[in-house]
Order: sequence, then C-alpha cells, then structure tokens
Amino acid sequence: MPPPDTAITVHLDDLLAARGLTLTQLAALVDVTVVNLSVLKNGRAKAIRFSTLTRLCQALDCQPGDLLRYEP
Amino acid sequence: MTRQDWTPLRPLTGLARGATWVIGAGALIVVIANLSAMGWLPGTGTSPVCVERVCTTDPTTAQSIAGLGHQVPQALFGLGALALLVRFLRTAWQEGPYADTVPGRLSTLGWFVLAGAPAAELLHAVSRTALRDSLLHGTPAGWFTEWRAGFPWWSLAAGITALTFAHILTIGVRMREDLEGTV
Repeated sequence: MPPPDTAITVHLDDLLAARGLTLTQLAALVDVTVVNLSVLKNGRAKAIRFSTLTRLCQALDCQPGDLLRYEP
Repeated sequence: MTRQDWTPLRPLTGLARGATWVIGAGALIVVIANLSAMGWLPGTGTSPVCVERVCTTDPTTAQSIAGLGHQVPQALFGLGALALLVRFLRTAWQEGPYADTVPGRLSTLGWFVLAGAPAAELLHAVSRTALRDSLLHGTPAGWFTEWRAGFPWWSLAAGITALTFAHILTIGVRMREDLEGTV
C-alpha cells in the first residue's frame, strides 16, 4: 500500500518471488538493512535513493518500472 | 515571495537588528539624561532624586489583597515560565530535539511568555495603583500609565523568538520524518 500522499506502489514482493529470493538475501546483496527493505516492501517508504534503486535493479536484474508503479 | 520561500529567520533578523539600534539609542539617551541630572554636562545643575516608598502597619483587607497582587503575579509568571522551559528542555533532551512533541512544548512556552508577562505586569500595575491610591492622596498616574511604563517589552522579543524557533523545529521534525522514510 502506498503512503497516503502518493500513488506509487512498490512491487518488491513479486520480484522477490520471481527471483526466488528472500528479503534477508536481498538485503545482503544490496547492502540495505532488512528493516529498510521491509519498509520499502510494505509501502511505508516516503522516498528511495537513486543509489538504492540502482543496487536493487542490479540485484534483481530489472528496470525501475518493474519495481515501482504509478497507480492513481 | 512564495510561502515555500518564506523563512522566519528573515523577520527575526530584521527585528533583532532594529531592536539593537533602538536599545542602543535608548541607552545613549539614558546616559546623557543621567549625566545631565548629575550636573556633569555644561549648563546643567543637580536634580533631586526621589523614590516612592510608603508603608502601612495596619493594612485593610483590600490593601492586603492589593499587596498580594503587587508581588504574586510576577512570581507566578516566573515560576510558570521556568516550569515550561524545564518541560521543553527535558523533552528535547529525552526524546531528541526533533521529536514530534518538542515544537509544541516550545510553542507553549513562547505563547506563555508573550501573553503571561504583560498580564502579570498588568495585575502588578493595577494592584500597585490601588495600593497607592489607598495610601496617598493626589496620586499622579493611573494603572494604564503604570502598566505602559513597566511594560515587559523583552517578553515580546522572547515570545516571538520562541515561536519562531518552534516553527523552525516543526520544519526539522518534518525533515526527520522524511529522512526516516527514505530507503
């Protein structure tokens, strides 16, 4: 669920399932804490750094659009 | 200038600068007036120095109440202001300066100082005038003149400063929340 003032949804769940990865494994790959990844996964993040997005895209072999979606 | 561009530091800086000039000019006038009263300036003579001090050993109830009102409001104001200051500092110390509750505490202190000091001075002036009227005949000034003469201008500056910093802290709290939500 996106934060109340945005219409951006995060689809980390789908990508993790498709790649057969757990949140803990991804956290180790992208050097972000599990807590912060959980915040992102559950749609409670207010912003994402380009550096984090780059590492996520590298680790999951995807485009930013696969991870984030605009759903008004 | 849009609302986004507005910063409370600009009016505060202007206010402080203006106040500095006014206080500086006032201090210079006071020094010159005192030198003149002492006869130290050319063409001036010594002026009498007077102070009002009247006591009664057998006060009526009204005089006792006025005597109370002459001293208690300012003491209560000081106590209240200190209590609010301690509450604000303790919250900032325990929860961090950018906790949600800190701007509200500082804002409460600001409003209390802004309104409380003039209110306490008003009670002081009214009580003092009532007491003086009951003890002396032909008193020179009413309560409003007394209040105006003793008006705590510092409380306006202190209150507005506290409210301004509370506003700055509110922005800081929002920034902290944004940072905490950044992955």
